[in-house]
Amino acid sequence: MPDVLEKTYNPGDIIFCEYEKGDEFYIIKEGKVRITKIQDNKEKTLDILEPPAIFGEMAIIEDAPRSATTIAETTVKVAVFKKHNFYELLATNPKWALSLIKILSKRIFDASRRLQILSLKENEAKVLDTILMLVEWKGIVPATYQDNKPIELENTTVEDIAHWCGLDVKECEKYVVRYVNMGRLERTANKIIVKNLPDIYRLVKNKRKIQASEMES
Amino acid sequence: MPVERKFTSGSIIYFDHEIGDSIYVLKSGRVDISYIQPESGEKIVKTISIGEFFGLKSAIIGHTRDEVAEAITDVVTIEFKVQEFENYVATNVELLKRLLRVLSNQLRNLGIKVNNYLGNNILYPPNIGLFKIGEYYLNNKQYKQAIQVYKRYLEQYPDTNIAGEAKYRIEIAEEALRTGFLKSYKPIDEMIKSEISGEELLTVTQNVDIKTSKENIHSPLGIRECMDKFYKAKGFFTGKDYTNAKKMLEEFFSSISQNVNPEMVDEANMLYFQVLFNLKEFEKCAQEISEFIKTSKKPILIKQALFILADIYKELKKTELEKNILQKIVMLAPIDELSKKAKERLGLLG
Repeated sequence: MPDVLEKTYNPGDIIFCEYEKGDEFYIIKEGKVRITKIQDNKEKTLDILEPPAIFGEMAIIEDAPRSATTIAETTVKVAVFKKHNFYELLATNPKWALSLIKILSKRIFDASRRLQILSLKENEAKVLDTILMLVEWKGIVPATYQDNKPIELENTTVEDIAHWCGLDVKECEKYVVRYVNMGRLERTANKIIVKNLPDIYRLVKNKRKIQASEMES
Repeated sequence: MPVERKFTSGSIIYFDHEIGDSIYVLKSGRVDISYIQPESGEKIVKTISIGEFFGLKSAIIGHTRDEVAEAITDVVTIEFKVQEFENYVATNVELLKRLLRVLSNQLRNLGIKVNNYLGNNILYPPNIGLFKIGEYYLNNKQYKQAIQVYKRYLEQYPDTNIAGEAKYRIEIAEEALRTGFLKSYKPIDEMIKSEISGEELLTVTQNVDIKTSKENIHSPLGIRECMDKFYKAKGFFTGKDYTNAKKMLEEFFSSISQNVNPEMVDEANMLYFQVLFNLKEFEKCAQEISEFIKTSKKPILIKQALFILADIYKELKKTELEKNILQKIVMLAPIDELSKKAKERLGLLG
């Protein structure tokens, strides 16, 4: 491989920073890399990567500034590739290229699903639709789910839901509590359980219908 | 092996609720894709061009189609199963490139819409964004990170008017690392605001001078939309859709504000010349280039623009004029790769 350079970073070093120009991408050889983004004045960890993960490639595909910051979590050794090597590497490593296509495809579906949620007018509907989305992520299709069996959403908190539908946590909490009190949801420390999916699906569908007819008139 | 698959006029190739593992390329006839636009609930219909892939994203990750594909006329397609498609693209880097660009463009546009709903619609010009990240670390006493960010800032944007402030912040962060005490600094948002209201800048460094007009601050959306247009134009250009690239760039130029990174404007200008050239609008292109040369102070950009002008004369078979332009490039300091290239081309013309 041409033009490969190895670089070592100490814990806490910034490898690249959001908004920087990106004309290099990296493969982790040793250590861990933390990907973060500052949102609402808080630094949030998006992911932690380990060898042999590739990172920094999105800015190259998109030909845009970096969309997140990467920080060495431990001592990190990376191979650095130049932009023009990107497509050479694609050619020799089609599996990787395909995985990029899959990642982008998944993100596109997720983003349009999120738009559907965000475009709902009522906050209550947003919260419920986010719950439907989380159910869909488990491979369940709410429209055709006949069962009355409860569905567990593991590692899901009200904060997660609030973040997805763009509400503040308090507002989101209000609706989750309401539905828990109605017996339609159940929650534990890190789980939300959907007791009756067809019910919630119908509710959201109706809200959407009402909203669409309002728009027409 | 991928197979040729025919559909008669009026038949549905796939429905939106289905999950399918077929990916199609349109060979002949007309296929319309229809889907509900998530944010408006509106039905959107899009006609597939000959040679275009459809059903790709959903098939490759096993997602429901989320769109209906209908044969409007009698249609011939090539149908790939996912595995066949994977084998096929593995040997076709150009196609991979194109697909990655199309997808990343779609994702970018969706991201902008999502951010609009979330109220994160203030997309900073990259230099201000980078500066703010440094400020975040400074606020949170992560001095080491703050220093690294501001050093990067100085490497990448040494000529911007807040470079002085970046230097100052490196100094105070280094001092804070030694003494534990951080001297005061004025948040960048306040600097922008006070610039707007015309107040004196009361920071230690007096050379802070962020060029922002009132208009921009009152509609931060302006910057975002403007950047969006630029990236869209770039997307169209890489997809060789020059007509739309031209349209987007013209919208970009008309919505431009001082807040937009000047480098982006330069890049947009260069893109515009290439777009006009590819559309064979030679006269307009030549005009735009000569306007640009009059005002630009960047020799490399001027040379690049002149090259396009030389290409125009080449297309028009006006060899003398082409030579003149190449001569100009050779004469323009500094001597670099571009000068060399121009000289070589002159040599070939005799």
